[in-house]
Amino acid sequence: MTAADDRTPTEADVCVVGAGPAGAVTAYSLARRGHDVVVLEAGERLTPADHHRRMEMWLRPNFERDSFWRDDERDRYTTTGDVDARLNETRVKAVGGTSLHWDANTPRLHEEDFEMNTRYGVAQDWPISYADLRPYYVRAEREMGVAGADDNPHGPPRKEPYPLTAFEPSYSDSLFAEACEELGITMASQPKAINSEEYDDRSECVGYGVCNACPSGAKYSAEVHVQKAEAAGARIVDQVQALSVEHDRAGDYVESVVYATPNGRHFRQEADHFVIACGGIETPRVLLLSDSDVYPDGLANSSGAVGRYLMDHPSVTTTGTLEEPTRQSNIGWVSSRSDQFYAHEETGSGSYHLTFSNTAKSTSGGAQSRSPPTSPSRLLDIVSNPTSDTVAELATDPLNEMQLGDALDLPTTSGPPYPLSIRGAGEMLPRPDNRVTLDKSKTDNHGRPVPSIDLSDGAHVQETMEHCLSVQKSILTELGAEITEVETLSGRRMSTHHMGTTRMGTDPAETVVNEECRTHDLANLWIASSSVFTTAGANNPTLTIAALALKTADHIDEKL
Amino acid sequence: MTENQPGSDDGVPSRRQFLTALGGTAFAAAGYGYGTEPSGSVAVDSVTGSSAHPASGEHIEALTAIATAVYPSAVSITPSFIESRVFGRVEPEPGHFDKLVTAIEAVDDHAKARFGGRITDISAGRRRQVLQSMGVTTVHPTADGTTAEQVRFYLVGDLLYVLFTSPMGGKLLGVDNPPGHPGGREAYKQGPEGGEP
Amino acid sequence: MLAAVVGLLIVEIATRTGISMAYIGGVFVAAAVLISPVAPLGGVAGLIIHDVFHGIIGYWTVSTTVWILSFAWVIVWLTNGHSSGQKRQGLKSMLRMAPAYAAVILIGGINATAFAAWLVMVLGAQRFYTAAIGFLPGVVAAVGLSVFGLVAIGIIERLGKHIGRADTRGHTLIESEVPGRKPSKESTGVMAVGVLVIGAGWLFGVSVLDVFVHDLGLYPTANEFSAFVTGFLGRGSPIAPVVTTALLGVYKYGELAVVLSAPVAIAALFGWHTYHDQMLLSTAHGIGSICTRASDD
Ligand SMILES: Cc1cc2nc3c(=O)[nH]c(=O)nc-3n(C[C@H](O)[C@H](O)[C@H](O)COP(=O)(O)OP(=O)(O)OC[C@H]3O[C@@H](n4cnc5c(N)ncnc54)[C@H](O)[C@@H]3O)c2cc1C
Ligand code: SF4
Repeated sequence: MTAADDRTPTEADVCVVGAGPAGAVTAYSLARRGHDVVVLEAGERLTPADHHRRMEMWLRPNFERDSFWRDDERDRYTTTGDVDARLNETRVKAVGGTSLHWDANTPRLHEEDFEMNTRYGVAQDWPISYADLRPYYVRAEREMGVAGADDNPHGPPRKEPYPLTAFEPSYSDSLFAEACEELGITMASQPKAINSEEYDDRSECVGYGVCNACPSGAKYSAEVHVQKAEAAGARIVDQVQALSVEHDRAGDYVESVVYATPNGRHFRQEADHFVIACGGIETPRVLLLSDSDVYPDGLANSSGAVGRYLMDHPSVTTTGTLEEPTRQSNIGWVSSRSDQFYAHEETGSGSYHLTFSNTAKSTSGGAQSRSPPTSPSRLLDIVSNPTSDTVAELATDPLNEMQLGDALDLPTTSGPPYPLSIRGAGEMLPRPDNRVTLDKSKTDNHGRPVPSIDLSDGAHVQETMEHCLSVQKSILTELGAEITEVETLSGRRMSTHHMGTTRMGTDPAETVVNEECRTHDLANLWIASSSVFTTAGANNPTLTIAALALKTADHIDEKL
Repeated sequence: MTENQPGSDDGVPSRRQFLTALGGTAFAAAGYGYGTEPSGSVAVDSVTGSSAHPASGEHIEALTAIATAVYPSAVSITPSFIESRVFGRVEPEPGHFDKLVTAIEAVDDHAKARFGGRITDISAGRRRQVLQSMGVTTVHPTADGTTAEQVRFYLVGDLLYVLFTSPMGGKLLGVDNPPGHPGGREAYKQGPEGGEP
Repeated sequence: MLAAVVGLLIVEIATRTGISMAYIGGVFVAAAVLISPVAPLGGVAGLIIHDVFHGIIGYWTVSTTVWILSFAWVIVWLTNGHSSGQKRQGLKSMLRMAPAYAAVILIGGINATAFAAWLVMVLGAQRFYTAAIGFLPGVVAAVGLSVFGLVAIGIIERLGKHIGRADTRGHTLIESEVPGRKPSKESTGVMAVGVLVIGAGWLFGVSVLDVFVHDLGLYPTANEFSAFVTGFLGRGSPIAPVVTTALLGVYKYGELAVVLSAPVAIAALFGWHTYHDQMLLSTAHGIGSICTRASDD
């Protein structure tokens, strides 16, 4: 048996559950200081060749993008709200966690995001301020290797330069820039954890353009910190699911985490401190599953807030076409953004940020897709909207035959018209009814209730995103584009950011963790996740997750 | 035409130029654990440690012949393109290449049986007929389906994948550096004049 | 022997020119109608020799052989396959016969196509519906050629009579009872209609079903499929649960139904046949006639 196959417990100062960015950064930060760290991770470890496979899975419509990690039984869930949770498209369970799929956009939250109540009289303030987190942002940017430029007049204040220079704007950014200038909207570079130059022994970005499954290592993933943690002496145990967290008789301390190995054996990992870093959905679920006599509603849940106040980042996109080339899909990432409408004063409603497309062309559809002869949706489309064209098409080519040779169905045309789009992601306020609970009627591979996600948009979201749509429209109109598609909130699905479900605050009756991200209820139980966000802001969460993880690791280190 | 040939005129760096342009970083990347895979089997070696694949020269010729029927006529390809792009890539799943070889043989046998010659000996139009008469063009690509569905999945699917992730296919789509091709970070910045081939 | 050689030649020419084997099969079947019920045996022999010779025996050999033989067999079956020894009927009656023959050939084609498509599917080569589409042009060819041939023969016979030449032929199917005419007029007609209904139901029903089964394969689990259906139909309407249940039935048991279609259809054909036994007895020299009569051309 190799060390990696040994899944029995070992002596540890700290046990971290989950090897995504939150868990990996925490583990590394503590291992680096000489503490014995064990990381329990439900998913598998990937090999370098796997990353090339993932790229093909991502690009090929008939290869399921998520099949490299998903276990249908283990990953069951229920979705009940207006917003479809599509959970297994928005997370990854593997060593590296969801950062294996992420886009690596790493803006900081803005100052006002931490004091929404004080400033705008909505939601609650965080118990920490932007200033408190600022040094940790600097460290997190260095850890992850963020490329960026201090060119954002509406961005949060910063003094220290980004560790890597920003990527240059794309050609289409220059088109957008003209229109935005006319409208008085400022654009800025998008900070991102992708190497614009060689950094941390990782290659610079070589333009694969498949950033969700980057095979080159130019994009940061938490595998970076998993490897560093291991090099510093941490032990990463993959393919073990934490089933429950067990506490002492009084309910003051956690004693162990019970986990299951692939061959079905159960073990108990003991440690002095425990960090739950299972992402915004599984983190509250593990707590809810660990109910006890002392905590009948779930571990660390004397506030009743565990699982509540779920927030995501609702987004809307407007797509248009131009008669001149827009040069899309020559790179995989977004290079420009605008924070013009982040401040509530600007919108009269909530915050949002805009990003400008570099990838409005899809190169993986066409004849590569399953071209259903009479797929239910195709038939239903024709039946529900029978134009003479569609009916004629059905009659002459009922089986939707694939054309070969010169008539090959291409995923996109070389144009004109040329597409481009603007996406906006906005803020959702915390509401107690948006929540993760346990669905007792459905169980996972270990017979435990699955997470049930109930998420609906409120009026705040509606107003905010309507403002966003109108701005998108005005920019595209200014550009002279013909608007071809508007993706509104209607029928929207949950975004890839899951926040708020073990929220941070000073009042133990209202919140789950304190300003150190330690649970109010148990003295040695910590949480590293966007689940601690008191409010969500309108910016991507992961840099903040990493900053908080570094801060939490410092607090744990003080206690050890 | 293949971008393996130095001096190819499609504005895409040759493999050689590519490696030069990257300097040592490709190997630094491989050292870290990932690998860049420009197009040939050398880089794949650094990722998988093996470039062994089950296809013979005949298989590769047959697949090249089928490719000429599947691809628009504007695309001209060589067996070395097929070998390096299809069989030189990291095998997407264990057994994928074996299934692909079986699919190639099925098409070749069908050509011999019903079209009077090996797939390499008949015209591109005939080759399309071979695929049609096998029922390949009216089914979904399905990995564990009938022979026709497997031909669609392994053979046609692989051909399209390598086409659209190569600059040659990118031309059809008006994308100089299509997703899946590590063509650097120039194309996205270039305007229509600077970048259009 | 001669027929086999001719068959081989035709098959060889067809493959070299890329003419679909379905058309060639159609020619062989038309030959059964116009020349002799045993003519397709020669064609099939030629086909098999061709494939053996080229070393490429495959599902295509098996299924095409089965298709041609069962096609011809159904025609013989429905026309009772015997030579009545009657004098030829002349142009007028030929013209009158043509539609009846066309109908019988069509019925044969439909049943044979369903059976052969099923076989192709069971052999793991193609979907039922794509295989069926592959054979159908051959049915059209067989019908077209036969009707054309009948009319042509009628004209030639007419002319022949005029110049007083004796008829030297005597074994073709057109000399036998045309379905729906003569003694067993009614029962043969009913019989044929039954076979048509069973065959058409089999071929078209299972094709459509198979297309659906194939498409529903897009949903990896029954749950996802039912989520899609409910998503589309909603939960409110009263027909929703019925439609959902029906579609879920197709999702779960469609594949099995396609596989079982052949045994069920064949059982139905024989059941139908048996039901009409007494009526058929009076005329049937039987199905076996095609096998017992020697080829002499
Ligand atoms: C397509 C996509 C694009 C994204 N783009 C961006 C972006 O541009 N910018 C950004 O900031 N964010 C982005 N995100 C979100 C980002 O990936 C997440 O915010 C981040 O990965 C969260 O880190 P985490 O460590 O908290 O959780 P995760 O990365 O989800 O890791 C949690 C880990 O815990 C493990 N785990 C869960 N339950 C258990 C258990 N019971 N026992 C053991 N292990 C368990 C899981 O297997 C997983 O590995 C994106 C996400 C997706 C899907
Ligand atoms: S564009 Fe850069 S980050 Fe994206 S996949 Fe390619 S190498 Fe990776």
